Amino acid sequence: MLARLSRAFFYRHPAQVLLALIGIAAGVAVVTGVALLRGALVESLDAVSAELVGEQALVVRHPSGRLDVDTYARLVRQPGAPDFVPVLRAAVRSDGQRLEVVGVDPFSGIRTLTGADGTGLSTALFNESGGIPSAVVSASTLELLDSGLDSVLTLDESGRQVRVTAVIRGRPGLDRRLLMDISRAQAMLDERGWVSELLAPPESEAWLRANLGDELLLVTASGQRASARQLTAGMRANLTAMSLLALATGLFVVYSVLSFLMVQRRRTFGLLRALGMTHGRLARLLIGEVLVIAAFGALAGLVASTVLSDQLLRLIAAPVAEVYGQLPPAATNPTPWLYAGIWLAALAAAVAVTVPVMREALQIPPGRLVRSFVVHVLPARKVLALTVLLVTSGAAWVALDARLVAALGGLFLVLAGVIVAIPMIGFGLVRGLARRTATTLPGRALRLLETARGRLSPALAALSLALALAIGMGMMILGFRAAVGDWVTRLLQADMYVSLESRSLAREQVDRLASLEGVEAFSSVRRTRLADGTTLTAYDLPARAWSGFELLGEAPEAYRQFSAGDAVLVSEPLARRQGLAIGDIVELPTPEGPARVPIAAVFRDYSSEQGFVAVSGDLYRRWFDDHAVDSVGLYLADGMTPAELGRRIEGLALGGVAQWITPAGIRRESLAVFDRTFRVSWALAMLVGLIALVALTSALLAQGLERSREHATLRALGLSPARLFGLVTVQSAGLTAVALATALPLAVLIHYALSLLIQPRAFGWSLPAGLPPAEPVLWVVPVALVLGTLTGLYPAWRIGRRPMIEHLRAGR
Amino acid sequence: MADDCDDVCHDDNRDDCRDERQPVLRARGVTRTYHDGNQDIRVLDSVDLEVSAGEKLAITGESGSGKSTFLHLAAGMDLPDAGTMELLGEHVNRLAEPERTRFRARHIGLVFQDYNLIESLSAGENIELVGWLTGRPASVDDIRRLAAELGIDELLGRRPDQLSGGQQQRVAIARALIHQPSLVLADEPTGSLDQASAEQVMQVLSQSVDARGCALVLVTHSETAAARCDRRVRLRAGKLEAT
Amino acid sequence: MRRDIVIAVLIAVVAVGWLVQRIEQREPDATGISGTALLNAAPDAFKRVTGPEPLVFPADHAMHPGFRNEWWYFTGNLFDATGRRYGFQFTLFRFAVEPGERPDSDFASDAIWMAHFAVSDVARARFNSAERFARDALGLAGATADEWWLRDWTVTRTEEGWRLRAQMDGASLDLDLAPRKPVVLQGDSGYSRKGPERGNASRYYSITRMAADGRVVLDGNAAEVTGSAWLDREWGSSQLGEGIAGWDWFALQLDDGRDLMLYRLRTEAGDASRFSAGVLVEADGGYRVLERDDFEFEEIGRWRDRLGVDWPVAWRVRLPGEGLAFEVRPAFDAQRWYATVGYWEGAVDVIDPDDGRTLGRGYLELSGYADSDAQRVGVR
Repeated sequence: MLARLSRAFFYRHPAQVLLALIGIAAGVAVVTGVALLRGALVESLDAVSAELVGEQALVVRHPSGRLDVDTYARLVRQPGAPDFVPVLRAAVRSDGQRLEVVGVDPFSGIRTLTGADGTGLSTALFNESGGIPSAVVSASTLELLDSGLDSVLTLDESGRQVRVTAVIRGRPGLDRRLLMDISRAQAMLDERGWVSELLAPPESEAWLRANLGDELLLVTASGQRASARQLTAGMRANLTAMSLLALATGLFVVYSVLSFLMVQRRRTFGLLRALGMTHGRLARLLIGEVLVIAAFGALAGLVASTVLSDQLLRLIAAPVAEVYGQLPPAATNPTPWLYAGIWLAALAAAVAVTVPVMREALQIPPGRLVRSFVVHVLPARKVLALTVLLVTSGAAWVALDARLVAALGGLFLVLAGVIVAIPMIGFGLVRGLARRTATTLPGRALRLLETARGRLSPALAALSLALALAIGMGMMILGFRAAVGDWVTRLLQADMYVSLESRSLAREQVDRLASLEGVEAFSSVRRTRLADGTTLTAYDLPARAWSGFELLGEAPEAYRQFSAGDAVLVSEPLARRQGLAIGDIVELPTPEGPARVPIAAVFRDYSSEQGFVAVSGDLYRRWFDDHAVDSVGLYLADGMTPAELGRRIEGLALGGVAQWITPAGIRRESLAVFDRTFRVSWALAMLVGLIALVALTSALLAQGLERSREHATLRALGLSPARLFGLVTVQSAGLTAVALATALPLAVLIHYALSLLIQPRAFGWSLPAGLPPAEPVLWVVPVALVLGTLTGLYPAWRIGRRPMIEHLRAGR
Repeated sequence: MADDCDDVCHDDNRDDCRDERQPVLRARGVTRTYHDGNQDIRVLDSVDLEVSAGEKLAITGESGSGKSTFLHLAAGMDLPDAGTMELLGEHVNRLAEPERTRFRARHIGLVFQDYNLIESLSAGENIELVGWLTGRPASVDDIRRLAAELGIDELLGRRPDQLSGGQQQRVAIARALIHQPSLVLADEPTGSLDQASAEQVMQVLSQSVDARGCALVLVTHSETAAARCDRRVRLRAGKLEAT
Repeated sequence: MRRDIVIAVLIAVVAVGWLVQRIEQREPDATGISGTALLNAAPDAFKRVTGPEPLVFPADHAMHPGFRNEWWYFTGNLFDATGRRYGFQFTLFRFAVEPGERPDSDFASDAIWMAHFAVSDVARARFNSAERFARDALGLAGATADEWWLRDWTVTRTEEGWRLRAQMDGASLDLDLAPRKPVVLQGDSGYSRKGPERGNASRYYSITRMAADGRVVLDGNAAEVTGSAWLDREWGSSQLGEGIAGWDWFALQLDDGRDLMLYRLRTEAGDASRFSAGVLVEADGGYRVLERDDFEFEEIGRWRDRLGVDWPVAWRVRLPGEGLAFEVRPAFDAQRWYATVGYWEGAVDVIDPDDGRTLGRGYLELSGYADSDAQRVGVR
């Protein structure tokens, strides 16, 4: 009987049920999607060695990244040597997708890998037809490339081809990898003489430590992945925060839709109570309904999220590869636990948000058959108290705890506090607006909103939050972008930069470049990773290039100390991560033992989240006796152009492919990378905005239904359907405008919190505190107004065409 | 401001000038059928009825006899399947929806059983509402005067939920009269009130209609209410019976 | 209404199904390699053994490129000072890749090497085994006249004979091996026919008795051991020919100084092919080739492994012409390889059926029984 009641109701209101489903599905989708994405960025980054040998695999490398095959051959035959897996890795692209060729020896200590059809790895890799080398590829990678078993993939730059001879599943670490026989890979890449790394089983650690010698580095696969994880920590924090906000918005939708469902049936509930239905049974009825809707909605959300996260992962792939040098998997890897957990959590959350609605329903006195009913609005005093409490505790957390989680959590609390107050402020604005325009249709329309305040408050808050997020994030991203642009411009003082493709420049080559006609001065840079993992960058700079360093804080002696080799500089992220300040001593491992040098200054840098130490070239060469450099900056004489000099450099025959680029080119490329990095943030912000619009639609529909008698009265008193339509449209536009008005200050708050708190804590760098950029406001405001108004059209249309007579009487 | 409802030609608008000898309302062969599933229910069956200017007519009848339907047709909120409904010489059923709505707003006052006041507006604003809808706002003085007449001048600033049923209905009557309609249609105006309030409201309604020379069509169950009218007709199963 | 519920449930089922397939990540089991199949046929590009050719030592101890397969096969029985017995097997297999163009790479290889190393701990009935692979590149594996190796599993030529060194998890072996008899050329001067077609043959020589002396380490416990070993060397392409399902191969060293090698090539019908053969080596090293009709096998005991495959591990053997009749029984049953190739290779005793006296020891190899379980055995 209870079921029949619910069912009949669902049938009569398919649109509302659909909205509820969408609301839940959207919330679940974003949360699950981000969880999957986080997983992909945690579990499967640089997991090739773990997949080939095992979780705890050991990795042997040469600091240069190239391990001589003779070294391998020597090591491998030593008594007690582990069954090394030689691996040759190289980044390639196919069909525009970033991939990596992973050449392995299938006859070494590699774990059993089998194709989906049971083909063994060696069988697959030695199956050659038509002279095209074979590759084993994961199923999700193939999906990404839109090809299948036995298809031939063409590599974008070289035009080389590989044939897919087996498809593997369930090894996300091998996503975006073309697993090939190492001999074929070496030949195809034209990389004879070396391998990238050797993998070994964990049991061989003692042997390796005893036998590797000083030249080779030993890393554990888990350590390697931990550092890959560390790399993406900032990005993941960003994603998590977004997903929580999306969830909150999704819950708003659920709340407003469910409360709407309740409104519809107030009379029925009153009647049922009068007929003797107990509270318990009524509660059971409502919970049952919510569970059915939530179950279906959450299921749809899980499906949507999986599709969504795979798409987002594609968006992320490029920046993760460019910024972190890691290839994420081609598809996310959901587990049954994740799905089941989120599904159950969604059911619980849906029931939880229904509690206030349910209380409302249970309070309906038996026999009360009227529909009119006021949703309780918290008194202003309580709202303010709650806001103050949340905001102060958030601020206190941020102030007292220097971790990233505190910044995120604090921001969350502050936002929550502000959101609590938004309906109060928003409806205050509505009242003010209505008073200003009292005699016009918009004025009246806004006045009429007042009664629906309880119903509309959550939607208003959700919309305001979503808009604030979109605008605030936009401000932060644009501000950050400008800061990076300025930084690059300032950093690049030379007129052009020259390097050799995948090689360093020897002293003699540098001298030849420097002595070219038209070159006035030159600088050079050498970057190395020290044994303790610190990145060291050695600069040879002419005096005028010094201003390229933007020093944080006063350090008048820095230049003298630095160039004399008496002190080093550290980049801001490194300083933050290790708590270093001017005057502190850093200890750097050098071939002659640890060198202890003071820090002359801390400089702004956005190139590396891990940060690095800058030393003068002379000091570096004294320590390491390495005279090569990675790139040379050339300062041109008047009348010389980079293009002209570029031609001369090409004529130099430096013994390698010389590349040159102007500062403008570098700036362009840096900003392109930057833009790709933040695509995900944009995508998520948009999703949150969409969810908020669903919330607004459902709230307006609920409000429209609740006010149906009022609307019918207005119609009877002489308001034409067109004007009624106009009235509701004005209401939704007005609500959007009010949401925008409350969102703007919130957006500025979010902007500063992201720029000045989250960025330094997540990435280690700070952004110059300036006025927030206005562009996001200019983009978001019109778009939001248009969308908000459009959102109101459907409810307006529904309300306008409702037959008026039926709704004139109470309780119908 | 003319107090005489007979003077329907007071307006500058020529369209609104009508022959004063014409009845305010004239129904001819008005038939209304509802479809319920496969069944046709004839709610009104060839009803002929005329209401002259200033006349007060009571329509009584059992529940479901078609009283309210007649009222809705008279207000132009619904259209007959057959027959014509003339208001002030205008064939309401030939007007397009916007004109019909405008016509209603200009010439008809509506009083509902459940008052139907807009909850977010004060009593005064509810009275103002029609003028705002028609684009001809009533002056503050007019509202005051009318409110005083109905005994609600102290209550204008209150919200509907702060008023008793009888007070709410008096506000609704003010709302129905403020724009000087030619015809007031009242659907069970006392149906939700206790006897004392009902008496009071009926008296006020009757007096103010009389004072303006407005015609009144009152749909009611109440014999006492019907007794206040000049003429009574009875609807039985969609057909009109004279009493 | 019922229809709508059915539709809703169907949609939910489809959604759940989609999610489940998205989670599904089980890797399928690999298809194993059939050792028999590998020896049955070979592409035409490989050389064939088609008739007797003189063998020259030590040159012919080295590998013979151009043939499809080749092996170096040691087996033996060892005893420590307390009389505790160990069996061992050490085999290098070389499988040549089809001749053709090779990639320009340090890892380009003409062959894949496989090594099997097993130590049977008779006292505890424990079979320790390890398999290794390597490509024929960068010196990872190879066989010259002086050294046969796969990474650090090595057999080096010494003045006396060879030194064998190999270790795996839980076991290692370091043995000096000194031949006590000259090389035996199997078949017709080393030309061992195994099928009717031209090329269904291998080059096959053995050293049927070598003194073994060295060390066994089992679970960290080292033991000085001595004993007797056997070396088989064989190479060829497509030696088995069609219709052969497997073989039962005996390498027995009798206490009276004679050594006996017998093999039965089993047809798919389960009979002994007419190319089944053997050799009887006298104590002085003189030997006589045996043909199928010279000996009889009778299965007298089976052992079922954990995959459910039955192995005929005990036999009654008769050589009427020699007046020999004895039983061959395993030192213990579970001496089975669960590796790329599934076979049984274990230490056995030669027993007098009348009084149960031990007449000698040796090794038994059973092949072709487990090809059906290749599905269940992981292969790279």
